[in-house]
Formats: sequence, C-alpha cells, structure tokens
Amino acid sequence: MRAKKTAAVAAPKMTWKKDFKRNWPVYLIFLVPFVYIFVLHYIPMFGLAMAFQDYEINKGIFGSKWVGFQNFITLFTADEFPRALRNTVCISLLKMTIGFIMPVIFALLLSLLRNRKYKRAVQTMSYLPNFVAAVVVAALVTEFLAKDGPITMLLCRLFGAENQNWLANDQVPVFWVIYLIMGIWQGMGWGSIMYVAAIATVNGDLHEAAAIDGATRLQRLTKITIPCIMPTIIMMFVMNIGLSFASGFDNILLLYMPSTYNVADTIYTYTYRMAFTGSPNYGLSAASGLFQSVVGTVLLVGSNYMSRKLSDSSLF
Amino acid sequence: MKTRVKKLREEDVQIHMIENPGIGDRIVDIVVILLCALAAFCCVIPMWHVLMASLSDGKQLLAYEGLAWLPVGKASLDGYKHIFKDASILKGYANSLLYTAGATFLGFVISTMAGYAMSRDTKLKPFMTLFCYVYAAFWRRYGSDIYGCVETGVGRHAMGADHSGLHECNVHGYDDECVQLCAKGDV
Repeated sequence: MRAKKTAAVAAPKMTWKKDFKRNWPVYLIFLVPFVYIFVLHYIPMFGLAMAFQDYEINKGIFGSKWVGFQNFITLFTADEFPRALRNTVCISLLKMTIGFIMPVIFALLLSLLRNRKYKRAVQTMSYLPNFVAAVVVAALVTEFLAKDGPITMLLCRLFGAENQNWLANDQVPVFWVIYLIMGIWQGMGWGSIMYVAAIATVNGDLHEAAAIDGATRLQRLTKITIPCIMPTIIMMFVMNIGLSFASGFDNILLLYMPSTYNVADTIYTYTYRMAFTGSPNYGLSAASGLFQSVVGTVLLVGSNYMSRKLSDSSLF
Repeated sequence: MKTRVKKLREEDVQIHMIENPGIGDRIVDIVVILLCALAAFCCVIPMWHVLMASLSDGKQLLAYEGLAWLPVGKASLDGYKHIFKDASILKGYANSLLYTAGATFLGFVISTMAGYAMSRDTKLKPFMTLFCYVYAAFWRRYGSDIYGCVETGVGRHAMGADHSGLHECNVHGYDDECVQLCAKGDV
C-alpha cells in the first residue's frame, strides 16, 4: 500500500545507468524473489491455455486440440452455471456487508471497555478461532448443526425450530447464513485487530476535550472514534468489494453436499468439481476458473481505483 | 485520591483519562462488558466442547445430545492413548511441523527481500511492485494475500509508523508473515 504523498516525493530524475550503478544491490536482492515468483507462479499461468483447449491428460497442453471459446460457451450454457453465479454473488454480498461490519463493531465494543485486563482477555479469546484449521472448523460446524448437535438443540428449545440437520437444509438463506456465521466466527477477532490499532491512534486529547465539554461516551464514540477511523473502514471496505467475489470459498467445499448444491454451489466449487471429481473436464474447469479470476481482478482494480479516489490510499 | 493515582500504571494514565462515570455510563459499561463476554464465550465454547468430548467416554458421547460442558461419562485419556499408539498420526504431525517451519522460513526470507527491494526509491520500483501484485492478483491465494497486505499496510499507516519496508514485504502475503507483523505491530 502506498499513499499518494510518498509517490509524489520520488527520487530525482536519473538515467538508467546511474540508477543501476547506485541501486544494483537492491536489484540483486530482488532477483531472488523474482526468480521464485516467476518460476513458481508466472510460468504455471500458461496452464490457462487449457481453457481454450479440449484438454486431454495424455496429450498435455502442447498436444491437445485448440477449441477457441467452446469451453466458455459450454460453461455459460450449463445448467449449473446460473445457480453457481447466483450463489457466488449472494454469498459475496453477505460477506461484504455483514461479514465486513462485524469486526468493526467488535473493535468499537473493545474500545469501550475500561478494564484493560478484561479487554486483553476478550481479545485473546477472540483471536483463538483464527488459529483453528478450516477443516477442523468445518468438522465443528457439522457436529454442532447435526440433528442432535448443540446449536440445533438450542434453536429447537429457544425458537421451536424443527429438529433437523441444518447443513442438509436446502432452503435459500440457511446455508448462506451458516457459511457467513462460520466466516465471522473464524475471522471476527482477527479482523478487528487493525480497527483496534486504528482506534488506538485516535488522539486522546479529542476525547478529553469532549469529555470536559460534557460529551457522554456514546457521543464520543459516534462523534470522535468513528469519524477518526472512517478512512480505514472505507479503505478496507473498498478492498473487500474486490476480494469477496474472488476468494474465501474454500470453506464451502468442506460444508456442502450434493443435496445442497442448489444453494451452496459457487463458481469456485464448480471449478473444483469439474477438475477433480467424477469425470474431469479440465478445459471447462480452467474456463470457469479464468472467468472468476477475470471478474475478481476487474473488481479488484475497480475497487482499488475507488479507494484511491475516496481515501487517498490504494494498493497499487 | 492520592492512592488511586499511585495505583495506576503509567500506560494507563496515558491512554485513559480519569473519569467519574454517571449512571448512564455505568449502564453502557455493563452492556459492553456483557456483549464482549458473549463474543468471547462464542469463540471459546466450541473448543471447550471438543476438549470435553476428547476426554469423554466414546460410546456415551455418541448417544449424547447438545453441548458437552463436562466430560460425558467417566473422564479418561483413552482417546489420547489411542491416537498416540497410531504411528501415522505422529508422523503426520511431524510432517506438518516441518511444512510449517519450512514455509514460514521461506516465506519470511523471500517476502523480506522483496519488501526491502520495493521499499527503496529505484527506477524499477513500479515494475517490481507490479510484478508482485499481478502475481498476487492472479494466483489462487490472492485473496488472503492482498487482504493481509492491506491489513498490515493500513495498520501501520494508522499507527503513523510508515516503515514502508515492513508493510510492503507483505506483498507476497505469506499469511504467516502478515500474521506475525500484525501481531508485532498492531496489537
């Protein structure tokens, strides 16, 4: 992340020769990550050629037949595609709104705590889920939502909900909510770290002055703390727009089952299924992966642009 | 009053002013404390459940419904005995330790190098940044990568300590590094 200011104070004009003479150690250092990234991450990108081929494993990329956009046509006309797209968009929207706001609220709550020891204890406990492997979390979710699981029982007793395996429920919002809550549980404490840091930088004099003028704590929260961390929130939100479409669907693979495909299948899981299960269709899978990457990248670049306009700082 | 001031540590005085809260403030305090307790409870309780289940009697646990507050049946360490008998589990654990250590080390070295190179004002800086971001944007883990980068970057920005070297080295976003940097810098 670079702020505009630092970009403005760039080095004075230099010729390439002078620059190289002065900065060659820097370039030498960069050579190591360059080789690493290039070999392990750029070269495999040519595998995307599969998206335009009728790919067969025994023939490889160089031997397979080129079919142009045939894979994309198959993809967009497949029955599963509109369903997967709808689920992807809806889940992304949920993550972007509710999933985004929870860490902010949590950080604000933490900022209102007076007792530092208690605050630290709460913070530490809230970080814990972040360190639990996703597979374990999925196992927990499965167990808690099973027919005799604790959450099912709780819902049953408190709200009289039907005793059922919630994960097998294919009504519209159920799976989405489960997935959303799982994400919040995993990431809320950890995601709040940077808001806590931002709140910590709010100038104490402002609070003091407001308190002397008789502002209550709630007023100070809404009139001082929130406006002060607004740039951070905006920046994070704008970045989230780009990212939520493209990432974080891994958990779905661990939670969904064939009977809930109509609410749980996303483009990501569709890509995965096409490539690794049943009768693999690598071309189709690569096409669908490429589609998601392209949309994700467009959103990311767009949101980066917006972030630059709104909060004066951006990724690139 | 004197004793009270003495009790406060220096850092407390710097961050919290001394207030005399009214009734409304007290109520807000209590609500906030309860909400935080609830959040912390929700975070910890599933793990508590697993811990208690691991100490429970297997057969009775299968028939048990709801949350295991205490070990179901007679508490025992039989489950643990069982897994430590299985050599493949220990082996798997050794492997994951190895992977973690290796990946962390490699990630640390490489992202520090890239971060340092990108933090300098050189003519190739735009290229280097683009190179790393394009990789991050296209490759499969791009989500968490950039996210981690933004998180750390903004955190640092917010802290007012603009050590570009530190935050840019998360460009590759090795999650572990971000985590460490976040933990060091921002908590």
